[in-house]
Amino acid sequence: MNIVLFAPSGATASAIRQLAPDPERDRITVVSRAAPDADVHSIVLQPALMSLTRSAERALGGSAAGRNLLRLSPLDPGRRFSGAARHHRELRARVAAADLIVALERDGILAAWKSVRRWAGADAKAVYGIAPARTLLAAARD
Amino acid sequence: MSAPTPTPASAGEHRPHLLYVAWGFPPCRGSGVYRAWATANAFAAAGWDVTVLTAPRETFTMSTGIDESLERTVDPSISIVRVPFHAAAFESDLRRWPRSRAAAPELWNVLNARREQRTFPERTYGGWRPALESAAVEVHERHPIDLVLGSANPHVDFIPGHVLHERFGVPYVMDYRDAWQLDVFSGDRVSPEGSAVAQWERRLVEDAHAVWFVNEPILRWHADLYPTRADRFHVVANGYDAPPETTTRRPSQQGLVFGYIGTMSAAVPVDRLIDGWRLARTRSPLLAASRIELWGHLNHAGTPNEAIARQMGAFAENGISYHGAVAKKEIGAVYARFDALLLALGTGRYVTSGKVYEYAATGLPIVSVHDPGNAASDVLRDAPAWFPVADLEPETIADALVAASHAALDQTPEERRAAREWATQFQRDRQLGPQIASLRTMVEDRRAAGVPR
Repeated sequence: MNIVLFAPSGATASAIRQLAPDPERDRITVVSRAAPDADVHSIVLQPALMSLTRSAERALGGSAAGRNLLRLSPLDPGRRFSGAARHHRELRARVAAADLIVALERDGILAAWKSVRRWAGADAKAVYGIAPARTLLAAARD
Repeated sequence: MSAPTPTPASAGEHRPHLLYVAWGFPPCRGSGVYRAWATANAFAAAGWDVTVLTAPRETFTMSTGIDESLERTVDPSISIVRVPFHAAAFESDLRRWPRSRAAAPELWNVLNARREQRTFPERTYGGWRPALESAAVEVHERHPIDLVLGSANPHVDFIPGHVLHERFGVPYVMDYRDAWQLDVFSGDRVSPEGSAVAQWERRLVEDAHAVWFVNEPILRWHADLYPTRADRFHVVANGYDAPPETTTRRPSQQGLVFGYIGTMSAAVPVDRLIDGWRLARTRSPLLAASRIELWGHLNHAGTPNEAIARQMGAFAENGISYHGAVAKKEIGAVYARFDALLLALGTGRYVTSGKVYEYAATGLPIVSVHDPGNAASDVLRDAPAWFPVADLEPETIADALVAASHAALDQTPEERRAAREWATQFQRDRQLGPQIASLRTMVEDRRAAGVPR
């Protein structure tokens, strides 16, 4: 299976362990903004305005209201990450070939959601979270 | 959904019928599931017919994840009725998400919560009420129920007891793993007097045969709120199910392994633990050569706690590794890897946790990385090898880690055995046994008095 994981932090080692990919049959691509902590093919995006975004996160991330305000602003880390993914040719190809697309983190949801809408095949599955990804992978193998 | 049929009873034998309501029941892997699993099994072992109302399997496979090893240990005599459940929070298929949800998931959840609370004032789960009511009545009509026990949260689990009591006079017990109106971390009341939640809880508590709480501070808070019903309140602590097996592992001067097993929600002060650990490693050559292993889920739901995810990049350089979730059947093997344990808990004087009892049962030294006022401190106060902290400053945590490392090195097998023996007071059956016996007496008395079922 071709699997694309959206994890901006790059922390995917645990998730990949849980997926237990078959090295012969499964091909994993991690989409992140930091080098992933797992030895897999990765697409590291460079969102614009990240230093401003981090400042805004520090200022607003301490409360639910602040986090919601940030989500609605142009400095929302999810929006920035999604923006960086928009014109990435390799990502487009990987998503188009994917059987399973997984958003592992909240800041990866919008990029995953838009990628699915734009580029994914009609049969590709797309989920948020590692548990449903594991279930779908197991079902596909049965 | 299929209704259960009664277990054949021998002549003259009356097997009381318990309807047990727990949204999270195996194979659900949520942290609260162990209490539900143990309670249903304990009633079955005590000779009750037990029917469980719970959510469909797919709810868990497609959201929280599952523990099939736990599911295999559910008493086979228990009938499980899976009641249809739909909630947006458990919709993981991104293709079904509207753009507004993908763009601002937290905000979308807040707005959606209003819709979900139309039938019952509980976010995410309130919409389950009609299906639960139908299922409860259907089970009762097929096999009359003697007692309903609802395990919260979610608090909609109390609804079947309420309905069967109103319509058929069936007694019910409310089992709180946390609290509904009390934030166990802050100690604040979260639902004002007169709110829908406050009205519902008062109504439910007024008619309950008994109400169970996991610790004395939570019970006292509710006793203050409902003084006329306080005589029906009981502490049924979590306890542990089976002590982890003893091991021959001996701590080494070359480095120790500190272990944490449990769900790492946003409330767990992993950042404080890491700060204290870093400092301790600069002070102690033994700790500089030691490791921390973190085991468990990174949140209560199936998605990671991002505060921890962000810190994972610094784990390796500090001798910290994350190993993922542990199935119930493998937990003993994981404890066998450790020389000492880290009890990191969210702050709150009402917080006990379930894992504190299992930790105690290992006999290993325990470092408490939580507010000293937590109810967990009451559990461990007399423990033979407990290293609490007076605050969550790195200096204080580092001191406790250094002290615990010495204790781990010095602990003899006899001392380990003594610590395990001390912890036997927390076996779960010692908590549940007296309550189940008391409920059996109540049910038999009702039957003897000719109260219709």
